[in-house]
Amino acid sequence: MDLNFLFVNILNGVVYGSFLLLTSLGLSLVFGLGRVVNFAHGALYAMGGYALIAVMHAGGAGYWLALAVAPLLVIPMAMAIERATINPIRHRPDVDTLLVTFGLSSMIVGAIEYVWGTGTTLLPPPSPFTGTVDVLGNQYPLYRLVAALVSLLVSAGVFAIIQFTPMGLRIRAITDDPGMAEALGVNIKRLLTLVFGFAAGLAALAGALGSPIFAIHPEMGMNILIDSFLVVVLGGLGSLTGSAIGAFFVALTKSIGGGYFAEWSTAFLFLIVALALIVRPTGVFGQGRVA
Amino acid sequence: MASPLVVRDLSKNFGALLAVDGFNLDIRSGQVHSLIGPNGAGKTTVFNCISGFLRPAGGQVVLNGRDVTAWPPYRLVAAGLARTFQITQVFSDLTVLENVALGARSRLGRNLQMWPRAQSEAQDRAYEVLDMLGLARQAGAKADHLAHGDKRVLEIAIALALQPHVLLLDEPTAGMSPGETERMGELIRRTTKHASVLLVEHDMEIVLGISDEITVMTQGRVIASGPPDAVSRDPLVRDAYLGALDAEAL
Amino acid sequence: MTTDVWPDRASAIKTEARTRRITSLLIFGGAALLALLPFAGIAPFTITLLTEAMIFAIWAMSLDLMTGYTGMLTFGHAAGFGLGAYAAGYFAREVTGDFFAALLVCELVVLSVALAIGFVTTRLSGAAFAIVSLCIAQVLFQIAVAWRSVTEGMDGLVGVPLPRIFGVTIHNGREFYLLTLLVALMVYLALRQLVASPFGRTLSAIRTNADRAAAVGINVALHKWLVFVIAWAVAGIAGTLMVFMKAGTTPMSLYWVESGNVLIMAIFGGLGTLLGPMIGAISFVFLRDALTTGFAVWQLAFGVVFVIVVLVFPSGLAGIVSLLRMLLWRARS
Repeated sequence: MDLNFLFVNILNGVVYGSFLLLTSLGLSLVFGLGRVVNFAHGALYAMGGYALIAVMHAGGAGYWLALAVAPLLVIPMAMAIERATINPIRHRPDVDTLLVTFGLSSMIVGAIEYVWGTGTTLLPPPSPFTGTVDVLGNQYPLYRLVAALVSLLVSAGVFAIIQFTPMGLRIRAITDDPGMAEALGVNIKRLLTLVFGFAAGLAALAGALGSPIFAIHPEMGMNILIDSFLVVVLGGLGSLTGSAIGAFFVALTKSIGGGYFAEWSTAFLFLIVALALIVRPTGVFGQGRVA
Repeated sequence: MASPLVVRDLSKNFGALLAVDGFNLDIRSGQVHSLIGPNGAGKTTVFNCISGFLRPAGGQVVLNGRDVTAWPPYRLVAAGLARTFQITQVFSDLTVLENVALGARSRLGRNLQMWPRAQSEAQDRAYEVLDMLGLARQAGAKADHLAHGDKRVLEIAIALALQPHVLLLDEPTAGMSPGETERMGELIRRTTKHASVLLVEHDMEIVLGISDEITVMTQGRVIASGPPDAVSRDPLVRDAYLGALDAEAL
Repeated sequence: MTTDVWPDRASAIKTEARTRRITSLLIFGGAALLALLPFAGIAPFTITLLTEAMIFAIWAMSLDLMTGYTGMLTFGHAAGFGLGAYAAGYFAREVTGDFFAALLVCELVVLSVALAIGFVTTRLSGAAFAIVSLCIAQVLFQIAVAWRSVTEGMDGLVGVPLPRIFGVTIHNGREFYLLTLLVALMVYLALRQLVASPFGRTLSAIRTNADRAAAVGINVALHKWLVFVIAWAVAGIAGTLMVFMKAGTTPMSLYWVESGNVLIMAIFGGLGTLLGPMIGAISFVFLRDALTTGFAVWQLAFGVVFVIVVLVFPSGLAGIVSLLRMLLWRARS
């Protein structure tokens, strides 16, 4: 048993988990508030990566500046999309928003391919984190740890906002009981758009942050989208703590399992999800909601 | 001869809320038994527990001598229990005839049959039921296009097509005009030729007019049970209803 | 007795029978027409496109059964298709290119997987089911990529021989086209029969109101499971034809983009009509060919069309089905 191999896999799992957490939080928020399953979340993640390199190449900016700017470019785009395509149909059955976001996903990925082509772009880790660092006798890329840390901090920030701010309270109340919105005098349309934009920002940030680690290509958001869905299945959509636990469970299983069983670990993961569903037949999205 | 429907000590809770506590019921063959009570008394919960839409926390449901507690709805139908819904839930996309034919087909045990279109038997039976209930003229219309009162009748038609021993009617006269209500009352009495009826209702006139027995519920418990005149005189019941049963009804 | 209380019944039955005869005539006429095309001097490439269109038609009809008739939206319908392709292709290459044998093996594999997976996933509905279906397809995709010893990974399975029926080799082009056309026709007729049967009627009930269907004595879970398995099985047929046509397959046949394609074929063509998805499939294939030779924006265009279609139909998925029903009903009366 090569402990070093195991340890590196665990580290990889933790790193991936922190990214997965960012994306899952966004997915969970949007569903909890608006009952919208945002299939385009992966595409928004990809948008983050491409916005990053666009700013870097076009603006000649350094990585860190581009990292700050990229989400700010994606957010208004996402909000506009939400206003135009999702908001108008939010009173329709849930499957409709799912279909629309599915189409949006194709649209965004298609647009990316059209503008940037279908190739993969590799991005070197930004200075000053280009090297490796010694972790318990293993040389581990420093940037990964930094990126993970940033993700975790941002996630903590999201938690804090939801738990401790008046806005967060409103969001939690409405998530628990959609009827609350009117009782609280909240402009639900505007709140939905804002939260959607916020979630998109989180996804875009994750995409940009992860680019030096996971490479950039048009389909880069697909895998993390699937994983995010698995996370919320296990953690319960609308539950932030659930997402946190789920994110690391999924990431570590994939990472450690992947190290020993290659892609079979994904199949194993699905098996777990299936079993979870059998045990909780009220369905994927926790809280007793089936559809 | 076993009672068509016996409910013993039924209880159901939603988390900390005890919606139904120690509910008992015994319907006699060919009778109309009404279940009344103020809003939130737990009547619909009882219904849902009996008809397999909710799992009781405790107690027993016995249909024709068989313990059917917590059976899923489709099995209960096969065992002879049918119900209607408080909020009209006909199959709006399908025609009136097709709605009832679904029930007839179910009764004929044909649901899994994947071959021939030969469904005239089911449709024949469906038509008979519609005719009996006065909806025959609208057999070809889309269920969605019916007037509200007719939709409530269609609900019953679907249930009758299942040829149940026990018929559970959940507020059948909800939203009906007085004329329609009266006709519904007659209809219900007619169905007792083939089935025993458990009725949840708010309309006191109907209840007192057609029931053979009444059970009164409040806050999840039974507070009175018996023939209409006995129940309407019961002081506990009057208390619970605060005048809902007025002298007029007596 | 029934005839005198139901005076319109006799004429209603007659009208229904006549409509059925007309549709059957149109179907067979259309099939005959299509069969004659290769002999009428149509370009070989068009025949190839039509072959592909017919394969997609079969695939889209199986989706219609599940989504259009039973209301089970799925984002993972590439699963049965790709799985069938791999199973048939691998068998054809390793053992024999006999068409029926390959189809049999394909169905054995697809049915076992569908029975097992369907048992679990059909307990879900709505968005949950749709997403889990996607996950299944993605898992199969991952397996196809990872299991290099069998599937040869991303390079794909190659070297699948030409199919043989009763020892006669079916060549590409005209011969294979006719085979596909025949299979498509048979699948259509079988599904049409299924949909008109009592079983098919209960599917509509489940789509309209699953709880109410349960209250009418329908074992909803069982029906959904059966539909799931049948849909996968038919998708597998399409997959088998595809793997022979392309002499191989790649993991991309299991990718979510493919699932999206078949979904739009069905939605665009008209859910809940069987013929609609067939037409949708043909339109899709020819449209895609026209667009990719013109612009490199296929996926973008696809996405836009998809979004517009969903937005424009007011009652969404259910609305498309009932809208079509209403139009057909009005046309009939």
